[in-house]
Amino acid sequence: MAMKDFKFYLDSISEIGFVEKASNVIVYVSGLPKAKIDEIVIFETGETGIVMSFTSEVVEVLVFSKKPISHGTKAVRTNEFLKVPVGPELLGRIIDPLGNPLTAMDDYKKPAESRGINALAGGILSRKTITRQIETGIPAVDLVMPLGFGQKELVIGDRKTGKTNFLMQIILAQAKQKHICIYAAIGKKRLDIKIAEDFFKKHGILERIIIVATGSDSPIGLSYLVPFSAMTISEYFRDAGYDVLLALDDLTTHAKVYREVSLLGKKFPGRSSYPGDIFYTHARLLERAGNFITEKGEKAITCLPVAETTQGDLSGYIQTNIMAMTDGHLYFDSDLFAKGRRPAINPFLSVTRVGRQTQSTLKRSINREILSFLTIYEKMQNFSHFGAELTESSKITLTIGEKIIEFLNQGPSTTMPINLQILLFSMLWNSILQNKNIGPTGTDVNKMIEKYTTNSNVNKTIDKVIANAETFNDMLKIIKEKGDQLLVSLKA
Amino acid sequence: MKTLRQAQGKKDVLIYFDLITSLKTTREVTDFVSEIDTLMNTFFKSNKPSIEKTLTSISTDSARKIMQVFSKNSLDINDRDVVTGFFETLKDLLEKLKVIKLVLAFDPTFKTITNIHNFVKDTVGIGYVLDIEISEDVLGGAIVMFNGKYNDFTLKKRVEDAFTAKNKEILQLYK
Repeated sequence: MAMKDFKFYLDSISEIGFVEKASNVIVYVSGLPKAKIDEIVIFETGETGIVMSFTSEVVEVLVFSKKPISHGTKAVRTNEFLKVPVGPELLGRIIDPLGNPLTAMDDYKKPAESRGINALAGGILSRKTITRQIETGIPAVDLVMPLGFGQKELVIGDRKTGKTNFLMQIILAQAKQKHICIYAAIGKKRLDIKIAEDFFKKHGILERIIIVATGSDSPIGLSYLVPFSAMTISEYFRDAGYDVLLALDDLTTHAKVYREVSLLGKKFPGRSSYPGDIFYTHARLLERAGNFITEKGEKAITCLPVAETTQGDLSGYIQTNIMAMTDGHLYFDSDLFAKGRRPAINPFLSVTRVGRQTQSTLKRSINREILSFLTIYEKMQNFSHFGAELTESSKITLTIGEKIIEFLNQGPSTTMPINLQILLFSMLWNSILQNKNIGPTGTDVNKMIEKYTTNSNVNKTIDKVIANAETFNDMLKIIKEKGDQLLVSLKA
Repeated sequence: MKTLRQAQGKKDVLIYFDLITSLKTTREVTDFVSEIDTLMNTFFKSNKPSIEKTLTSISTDSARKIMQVFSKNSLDINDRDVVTGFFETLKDLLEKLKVIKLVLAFDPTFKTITNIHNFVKDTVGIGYVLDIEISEDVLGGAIVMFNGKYNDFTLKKRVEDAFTAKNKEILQLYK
């Protein structure tokens, strides 16, 4: 429902307030005797805000505007609570948390349906165990750190370690699989929002994506609402029968925004000056994600919150808070990034708590094999730095290791179907690719991805081979027999 | 001669009653508060402070009212603490006055203001002042805003309501 104007609410509700004090986005209004928490307040100058708290004397209002509100300005309450318009009309749009277009958009009509922004998280009875693996198209995740539909996985790392690019890649893979993706950009630079939009446009997936964003110059009140609004939109699409991927970029900025709002509101500062309810604020948000039983079947909101670290310090207040709320984290290592690893996920410092339960026996056995191999490879590499004479087997391990590391590297626009990942990894392990002089990344692999996704015969054959393999050893046996043949069909 | 504490010891805040009830509008309150500030400044600047002398720095009407309160309640006018305490308490009380905001279509005379204020005094008691705003847009009647409540008793509202409710009938007249 569209908001009416100041006069309408003044006449219909017959309550008025006057601004007594204003400190940036927090204003104190006298009057409004029946104001309620989270109720929308409209000022005579047209600005809106929400009730944050009240005393017997004044109501504390968070204003969604950069324009200063002067002393004595009249305010009315609306009996309406913060809602975000939801509907398929939002797909392909860049909106602010109140559903207003952020950029010039043709033919944009705000959806008629709206939902309360602060819905309670679904209870245990509405939830289901996470059993379906989410296909990110990134071998470093799908094979090494698998994620499930409905999982909350923290993406953590220093700035400029490729976190946002990683999110773009996952969104690309998910949108290609016809899932709905919501990208929440909290207080981002306008240029970054534009780059994200261009990326989605370039790959023709914008119509499966909604960007809920505020710029770094937006009012902090609006930036505070971004993740809640994005989550509400996610819930709408979940209930409409879609699996939703929600990327919250990033919650450390959100925490800083909330800290600013709280300090302006004179809330008592706690650790690092964050308010005492910062954990609650993020926990009640992330708790709304998960794997749910809906009228349309099992549908999930997979949430990927981002947290930024300083100099690789994982023990920050907000970072550890979010770690406690999520089902694991992917750590983006600045050293690995500097070495050219893309995505720069450090598998030894990353955790996935529910991802492995979604894997088949084969995938789990590959996962175990990769992780133990990477550990050995890492140790051996350190050892080889001493210039020691290496045995033949060590040399082989290092050569295969290099190839595997190369295989786990990926360009930002490439998404590799999971069965193809398994096949290529097995071929790499059996040195089939090496013998044919095929690199684990690059043009050849891109052509194979193209072939796999477009040719249903090839696709079916590979899927069948993988379905027949129970364990990694089975897979290696099959590859020994049929590897060359499969490679030919992929390269044809 | 009583000290202020002795007077207040009897819970005699009623000593301010005459002063407070004589103020009817927020404008009068603001003026009176600034007169108190002037008075206090002058009082503390002089070497031999005497309230009687410093009273010349404010309006004769306010000075008369203040003197009346001092003499009526037998307060020691030469006691610096009594004078300071008196004015500080008075200012606190004036800050606590509740405001009834009225929007009128005309500039009310002093008599009208007195009548409205008396009506308020009889209806809800003392401790209220009027904040009068003049807006010809309202045509007649008044908008009353008090304690966050907003009541529109204006002619403008009546006319608008009539036009909304009887839109069709009114349009019929012009067909």
